[in-house]
Amino acid sequence: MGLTFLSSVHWAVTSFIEVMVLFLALRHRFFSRLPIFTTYLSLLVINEGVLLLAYELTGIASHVSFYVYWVMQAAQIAVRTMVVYEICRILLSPYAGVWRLSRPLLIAIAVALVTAAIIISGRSAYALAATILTAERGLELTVVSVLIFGLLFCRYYGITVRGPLLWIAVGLGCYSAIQVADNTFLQHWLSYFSLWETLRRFSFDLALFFWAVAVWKPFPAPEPVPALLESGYYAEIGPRLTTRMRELNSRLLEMWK
Amino acid sequence: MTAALMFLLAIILLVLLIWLLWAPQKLPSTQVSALEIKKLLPVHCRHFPQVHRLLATDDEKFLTGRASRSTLKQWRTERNRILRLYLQGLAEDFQHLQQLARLISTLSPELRRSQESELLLLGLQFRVLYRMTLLRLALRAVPLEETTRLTELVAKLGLEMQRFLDHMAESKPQVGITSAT
Repeated sequence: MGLTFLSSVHWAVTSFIEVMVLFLALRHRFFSRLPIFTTYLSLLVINEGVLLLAYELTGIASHVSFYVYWVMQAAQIAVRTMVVYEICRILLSPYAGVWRLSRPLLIAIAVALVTAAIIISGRSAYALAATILTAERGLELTVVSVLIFGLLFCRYYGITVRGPLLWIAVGLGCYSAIQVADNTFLQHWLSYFSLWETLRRFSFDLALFFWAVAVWKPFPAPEPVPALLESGYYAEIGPRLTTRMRELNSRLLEMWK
Repeated sequence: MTAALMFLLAIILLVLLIWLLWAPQKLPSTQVSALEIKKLLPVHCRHFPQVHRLLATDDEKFLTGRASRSTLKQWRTERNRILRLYLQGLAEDFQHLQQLARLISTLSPELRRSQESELLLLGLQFRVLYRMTLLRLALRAVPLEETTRLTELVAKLGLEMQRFLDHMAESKPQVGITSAT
């Protein structure tokens, strides 16, 4: 059993777009600013080649193709998680205090979610395919959760996300969130495999579109790094501010009594 | 059940992602001018003398017995409306100061986790309490003494921030908060 004509056309078009996105990223020197993201784009192209080879040599329904497909997926998820970390680092690291505060939290969230994904999929009583789907869902949840926490930090501290980073983040987040829903769907309604496959392709095409927008123009020149205050200022104003706020809240509470 | 929760989670994550990336930022950019910073200092608490007069019991005493019941009721409704607007202004002042505090945190090389989490929690607590106060105001007027205390607190906070900003501008004018001129 091979791919249908439509699937083959879709695959060819997607592969061509992946190559174009990688070409644009390299041409616009994304590698110097976003090395992990550029590596991820390369991995997408390599993935298509490896899968094509596996399907041609062993057939699409073979065990070898099955394992090759999921090993490549695992590699992609791992690199995607690193891309999320790269985006958070670029956005938050110019603000030393915020980065020192947020980095351990982001890493802790990632470790906790990955551990949970491993434990849950390990306990799964379903067949191998369902176990893999559970693990993939957990890892995709890790990607989108770390991204959202990173963006929450940006929003709370007034750090603007724009340009290519915004589009890359949208692509990563949308793809992972749709995958979480899609894998849940397939676990409960295994007979709707084609719908799962369509959603999977749709979410990837959508992400690829966003990444194409991201690399369409050269990476903008880095914004001037804001000069930071002396640490004494924060130590001086912070406690005073919290004391006043506490006082204000207790007054409001008294008013309510 | 788990499937429904996971679907819901995925939708929430997607909506949250879009909101985080596209919803307008209330907090000023980290490269702001002193003029923009000044806008964050409290302004509504300066109008307290006028509100103080409005809340004074003398007027009510004077009107009781002289004005008709409907006029007195209308006067009280109007007074509560002004007080509500004033409280909204105070809340705005407070939020601006909170934004200023976050801006200082953003530009600080070292942050304390306990302090940042307390600031976050106090901010959330304030929002809840403020809503509750507005609700209480809708039921009956907030007494003058309590409004005075609130105003004093916001004004003090504003004054401290003002002093801090002046001190900062004098000692290190080249930081992220740039000169207005």
